[in-house]
Amino acid sequence: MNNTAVNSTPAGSLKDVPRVKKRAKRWESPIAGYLFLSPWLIGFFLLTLGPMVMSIYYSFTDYSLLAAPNWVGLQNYKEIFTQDDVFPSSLRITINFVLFTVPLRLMFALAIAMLLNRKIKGISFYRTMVYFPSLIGTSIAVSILWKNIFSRNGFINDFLGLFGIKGPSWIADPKYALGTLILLMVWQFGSSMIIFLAGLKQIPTDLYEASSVDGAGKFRQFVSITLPMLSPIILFNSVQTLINTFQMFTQAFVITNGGPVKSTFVYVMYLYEEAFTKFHMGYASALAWILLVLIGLFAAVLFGSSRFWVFYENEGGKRS
Amino acid sequence: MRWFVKKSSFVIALIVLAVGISACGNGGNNSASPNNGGNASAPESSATDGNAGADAPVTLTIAWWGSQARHDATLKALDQYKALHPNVTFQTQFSGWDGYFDKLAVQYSAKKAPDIIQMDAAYINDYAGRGLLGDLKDLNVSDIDPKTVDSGKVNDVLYAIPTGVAALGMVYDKTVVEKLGLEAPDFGWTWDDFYAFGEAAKAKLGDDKYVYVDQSADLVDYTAYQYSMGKGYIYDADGNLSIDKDTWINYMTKMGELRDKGILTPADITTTDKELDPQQDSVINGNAIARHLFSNQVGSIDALKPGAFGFASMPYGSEAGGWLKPSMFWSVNAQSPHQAEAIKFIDWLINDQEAGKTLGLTRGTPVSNKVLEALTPTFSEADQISTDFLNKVTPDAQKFINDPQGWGNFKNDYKTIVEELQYKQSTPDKAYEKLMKLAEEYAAEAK
Repeated sequence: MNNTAVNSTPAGSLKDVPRVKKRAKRWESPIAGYLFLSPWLIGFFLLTLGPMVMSIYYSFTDYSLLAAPNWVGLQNYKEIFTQDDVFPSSLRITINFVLFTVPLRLMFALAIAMLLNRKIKGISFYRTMVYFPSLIGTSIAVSILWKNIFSRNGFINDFLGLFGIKGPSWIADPKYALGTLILLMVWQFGSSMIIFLAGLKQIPTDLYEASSVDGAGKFRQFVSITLPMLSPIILFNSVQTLINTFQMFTQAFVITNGGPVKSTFVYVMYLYEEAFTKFHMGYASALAWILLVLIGLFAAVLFGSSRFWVFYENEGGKRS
Repeated sequence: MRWFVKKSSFVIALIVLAVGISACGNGGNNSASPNNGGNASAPESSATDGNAGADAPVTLTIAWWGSQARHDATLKALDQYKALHPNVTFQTQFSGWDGYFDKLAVQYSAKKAPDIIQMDAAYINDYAGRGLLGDLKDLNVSDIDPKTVDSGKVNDVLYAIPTGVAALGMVYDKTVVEKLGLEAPDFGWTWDDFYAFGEAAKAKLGDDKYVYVDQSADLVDYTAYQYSMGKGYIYDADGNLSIDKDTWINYMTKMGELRDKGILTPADITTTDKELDPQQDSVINGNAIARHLFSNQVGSIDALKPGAFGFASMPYGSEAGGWLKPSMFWSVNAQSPHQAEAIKFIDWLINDQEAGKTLGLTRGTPVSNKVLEALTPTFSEADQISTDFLNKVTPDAQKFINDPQGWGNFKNDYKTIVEELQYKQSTPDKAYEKLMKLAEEYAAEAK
């Protein structure tokens, strides 16, 4: 604590150093700090870590919610990888979903963020309005709204009807159902957009000015200035969105309930069904841990690739 | 000074912590307070009453699923019971069918399940088999048909008492049938009549409307078909699946033909169809003319379009297809400390005439003969239709058996397999193989 406090002060003003040291000393006793943290710590240990540890244990048992668990060793994992037909199919659907949703949502969020980064009168009003759907984003209500908009006689088909096009039943056709859900996730771009917007504001305007003096066009500026300067934020948003989309549940549960013909039966829906309709709690716990490892792997790949494309200005422009 | 800051920050942290904890604990305190209040006044009654405090204040938790009409009637009945037994208070948990049993399972795992539980035939064996339901032997069942009582027994122990009886049959939109000038389906019609009506109606309906809601993915429909073909129930006496291969493949092939002809609703309509939903039920929204229905749902569908619907039996083959089924049951939680009080309440609910009048037919035609007798003169028109429906199916009704233990969810997986047929992703032969594989998995786990 002491060290970081000293290091983070600007080295220029020598006068400040002793005072900061003093302030740091007041907080020397770690007990008070932990006490301040304690509401969160208690919540974390009781409500997050506790259940997580329990679920590791359950994943090695045949726990069924209604009866006491028996130890079965690695059997659940073995069954998932060797005998389970639904596991690979739900995983394939989920990875499909993630591969489409993450890039689309980031592109969309970035595009909107750039639109909202202009200096127009009343821009904060537009920002609020655009962000608004995200406040109610993952709720049941939005999912039900989506279900109605994309149903056979919904708004989209009424609209297409104006042009003489007879639209399919988007959520009830295995060809389109997953696409409808991807669209919903892309539409819920708000949180990524806000972070992009903050990132855009951090980019020094003199970079743009200097480049335009040198004759760079808008597109050139976007590729050579905006994208590199924003790359740490793109990395952050990618990881964040990746984790969220892997865990998508509410939308699939409410809008299509995994159907039609299991075309939107994503991984977490499978997990939920095993746990709460079939009561295979042990099996579902094993599924949950496999998902955790998978998300970890995907995130690791992203972080690993970041040294090739993420640009940190404060490291002297070195790509690290 | 430094000492003071150090101490005061410590104190502030403690206060934050204390506030945080008490805020968390608040919920628990609130729900416990009725009990505390109860304990305070309890000594008086238990001192005078040696009978282990028969009138001691007690809070019973009761859960059910259903429609608004059932919620209203049940809440009113609870108030009546409270007036008769001031020592009893109720905590209610009522909802629609979706998610009801998911929630119940989680509540049981946390040992917080309700004292009184509305139970479904699909789950009685699952719950009773795990010892989660209390024995209802103290219930007075003398006015109830013994066969009806038996439907709530598992290994000769009564774990659930039917709330009412319902018959399986069909509903059709009378106004459309009359407009098209067709002969309406009726009780006792055959599968040939069923197909003929389909062809005739489709010819007049045109491309965008359909005759029957495609309910082939509902295990109920195939069960009725197998019964009507004289091949017996879909589970044998040992609780194994007993689907006749040829009958099943014939049925699915025939349904495929009807789907191709536009007599059954196409897959995209079928999959979003929701029974008795004002917007999504295909018979109510006009996409189709007929579907299967249980007699206890007559009131619900009639309320949506009064007088618009007519009723028929399931089609006959060599035998009848329909059966009588307990519409639902009342059970008592075996983990509950108030089982005696809970049974006393259920006893009142099914045997008392006042309770019967309040509840009406919201849970099917009452099982107690005395209640039914008292109720008959007060029947509404829909009640009368529902009762006639029941009486017409009763004489040659097939036997209903609760789903065997471990098979409660089979119908959900069954639906997925038939859905592949509806979307033409499989053939009846392949689907049958898949079905048998699924059945093996269920059988292995049920053991």
